[in-house]
Amino acid sequence: MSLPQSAILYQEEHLDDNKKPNLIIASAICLSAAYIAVSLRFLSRRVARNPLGADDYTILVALFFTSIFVIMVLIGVHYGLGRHLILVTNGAAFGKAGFPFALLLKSQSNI
Amino acid sequence: MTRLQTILAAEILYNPAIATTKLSIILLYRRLFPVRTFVIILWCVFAFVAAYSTTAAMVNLLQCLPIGADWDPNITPKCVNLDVELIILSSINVVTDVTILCLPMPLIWRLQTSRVRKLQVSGAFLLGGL
Repeated sequence: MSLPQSAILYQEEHLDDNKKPNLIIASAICLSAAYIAVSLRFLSRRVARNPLGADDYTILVALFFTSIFVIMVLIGVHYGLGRHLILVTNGAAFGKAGFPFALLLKSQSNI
Repeated sequence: MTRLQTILAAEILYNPAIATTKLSIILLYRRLFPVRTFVIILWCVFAFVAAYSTTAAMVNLLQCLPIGADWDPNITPKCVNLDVELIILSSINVVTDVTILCLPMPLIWRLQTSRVRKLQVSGAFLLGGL
């Protein structure tokens, strides 16, 4: 994976770009919304006195996976996700593992 | 744990997270509309989403070989075409999303209530598109 010259120039100009706060806030809002939605769901089951069904257990599992996913993203942010791609010092390894995220986010590596 | 490992792990974990949400919606439909033909269609979509998400997780794990556990920077990995892979995986996800959203619509339209009610109920279901 190699960047075109225009992209490299752009990233050098904008070296101070920092998307980390964006990532953190977006993750926090979305995960909170998910927890609130699931709580309201269980509350409404209780109010209507409906038994808990397979869909309710599945949504708990989904909430668990989603929480882990968001935590992984936040750990990635801690390690440098959210800065520019040219700051990566380890091109081969980054391209191998980080490429799909690199399409959406700019990243930095200090490995 | 290094950053690269967390990114790859997050990408792999994304698939079951999204899939279990969709499966929960399908099970909710089954609970609300226990009509035989509809339930058969629901199980078909359920099976597809479950199978697809397992496959997608596998693809994300094995998209670059030697497998992700090798973080030796001196070895260049051999990868599948990552551009194409991302586009295809995301589009199939979107298609299943839209299918699941549209599934209950015919049933709601055939309900014996006022037009306003039908629009309200459709709106409540379509909110799942968020």
